[in-house]
Amino acid sequence: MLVMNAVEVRYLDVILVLRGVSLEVPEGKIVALLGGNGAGKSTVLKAISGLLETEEGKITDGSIYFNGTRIDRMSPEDIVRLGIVQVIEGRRVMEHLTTEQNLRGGAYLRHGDVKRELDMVYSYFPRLKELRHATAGYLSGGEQQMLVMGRAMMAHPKLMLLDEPSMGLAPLLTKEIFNMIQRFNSEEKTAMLIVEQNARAALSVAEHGYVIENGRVVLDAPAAKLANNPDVKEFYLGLSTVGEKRSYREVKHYRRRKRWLA
Amino acid sequence: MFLQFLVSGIMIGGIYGLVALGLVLVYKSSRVLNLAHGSFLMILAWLCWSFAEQLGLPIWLSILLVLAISVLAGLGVERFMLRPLIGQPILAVIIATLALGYLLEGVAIMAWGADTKGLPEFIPREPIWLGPVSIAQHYLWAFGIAILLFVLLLLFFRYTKMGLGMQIVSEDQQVARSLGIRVKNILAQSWAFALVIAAISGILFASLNSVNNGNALIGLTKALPVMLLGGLESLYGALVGGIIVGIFEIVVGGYIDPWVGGGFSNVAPLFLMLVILLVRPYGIFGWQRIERI
Repeated sequence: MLVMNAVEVRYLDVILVLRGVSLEVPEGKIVALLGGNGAGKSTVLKAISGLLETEEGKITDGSIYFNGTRIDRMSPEDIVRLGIVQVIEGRRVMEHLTTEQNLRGGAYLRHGDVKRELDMVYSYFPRLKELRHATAGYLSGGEQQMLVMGRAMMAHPKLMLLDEPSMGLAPLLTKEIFNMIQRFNSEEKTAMLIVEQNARAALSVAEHGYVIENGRVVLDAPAAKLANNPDVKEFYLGLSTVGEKRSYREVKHYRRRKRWLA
Repeated sequence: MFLQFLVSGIMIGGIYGLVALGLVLVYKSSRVLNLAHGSFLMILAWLCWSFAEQLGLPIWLSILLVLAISVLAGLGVERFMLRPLIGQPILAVIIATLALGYLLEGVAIMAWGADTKGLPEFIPREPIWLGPVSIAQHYLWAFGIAILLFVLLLLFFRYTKMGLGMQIVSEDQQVARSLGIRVKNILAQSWAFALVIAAISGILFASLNSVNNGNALIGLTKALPVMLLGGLESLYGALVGGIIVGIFEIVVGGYIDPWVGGGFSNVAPLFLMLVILLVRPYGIFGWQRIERI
C-alpha cells in the first residue's frame, strides 16, 4: 500500500537526515520503525505525511507511493485527504479546546454528522467520554495520548503514522495504548507505521519491523524474527546474550559494536 | 450624573468592543497584532461616505458595497502581505501592518483631504429617557448591533466547521495541517471577517461622530487597551473589556476632565492599559499558557 523508495531528506538544504530509506507498509498491517535518538525515525513519518514542509525539510531524492499515487511532492493537506494521518510526537492536543472539540477537529474533512465517529472513539477510550467537556490542556499525559490517537481515528484513516505513542507514559498505560492500537488495527483494518523507542511494545503488535540508524535502514525482518535478533536484543530490548558466561573481557567491552556501522 | 456617565460608557464601550473584536480575530488566528486595523476602519467609513454622498447611492447599498469591499480587502491582505511573509518572524508581519496602516492613511488624505464629513443619518437620533437618564438613540442602536454581532460570532465559533477550523489554527498550525485544514484559507477567512467587522464598526463610529482621518486612531488608543484588558484571544473579553474601557473613559474622564481642563478622557483608556500590563498582562479572559505539573 505504502512504498518508500530510497528516500533522501535534507533539512535547510544541507543537513542530510535520511540517506536513502526504503520501506513498505502492506494493507492493514502494523509495521514498527525502531532506532536510537536522532536516527531519523520521525523524519520518515514526516516525509510520508508531508509535514516536512513545515520544518524546512525537503525530499531531495527517491519517491513515495501510496496505493499507486505518488505523494512525495504533495502538500500535507492533500496527503491527509488520501487517508494518511500522522499523530505528531509529543501529544499535541489543542489545549484550550474541549476534548470533544479536539475530536471533532480530527473529523474536519468528513462531511455531515460525526456522531458515529465520536461514539467509535469513545468505545475505544471510555475515559475520553467522561472528559468530553474538559479542557484538553488539563488532561493527564495518558489521557492526552488517548485524545490525539482518538483524534486521528476520527478520520477513519487508511494509514496511521504514530510517532512515539508511549513517550513518557507509565508501563501500564503503555500497555493499554498498545492494546488499543492492536484492537483498532484488527477492527478497522487501518494500516499503521509506528515509530517507537519502546521496541518491545512495538514489536509485540507489529508484523514487520525496520531498524534505522544514521538515516539508513540497517535491519528489516518480520517482527518475531527481529525480536530474536541478537543485535536488536542488545541495543533495543536491553537484554544481553542469555546463557553466556560473563567474562572480564566482556565487561571491558560491555557494549558490542553495532556491526552495521563498521 | 453618575448613572448618566455609566450608561453612556456602556454604550460607547460596545463600539470599542466591536473594534477590538476585529483585532482579536486576527490575533487569534495568525498571532499578528494588526496595527492597520484603525486605518482600515477609517478608510472603509470614508468609502461609505463617498458612495452615499458623492455617488448618491442609498445608504443601505453603500453599506453593502463597503462590506463587499472589506471582504476582498481581507482576502487581499492574506494573499499579498501575509503569504509572502510566511516563515518570517512575526514582528516582520506586524511591522508590515504598520506600514499598511500609514499607506492607507496617506491614501485617505489624497482622496478625501483632511475634512470632516457626516454620514447621512440612517439611525434615529432622538434621545430616550429612562427616568433621569437619557440615552441617545443612535448610541443604543450601535450598541445593539455590536451585541448582535458578538452573539453571531460566538455561535459561529461554537457550531460551524469553519469556526472550529479557525480555533484549531489559532492553537497549532502544524497540527491543523496534519488534520487536513488549509491554514492559508483559514487565515484569509479570518482577515476577511476582521475587516467586515472593521467596516461595520467604522460606519457605526462615523455615524455617531463624523467621518474623518482621526477615526483611525481608535484602533490603537481605544481598541488596543480593550484587547489587552479582555485578553488577547478572547471574544467575550473584547466585549467585556470594551464596556469596562467605555465606562472608565466616560466616568473617570467625566469627573476628572473639569479639574484638568479637559482631555483626560482621551488618555484614560491608555492609562488603564498601562495598569493592566503591570497587573495582569494576559487580560481577564486571555490564555494563560496551560502548564501541567
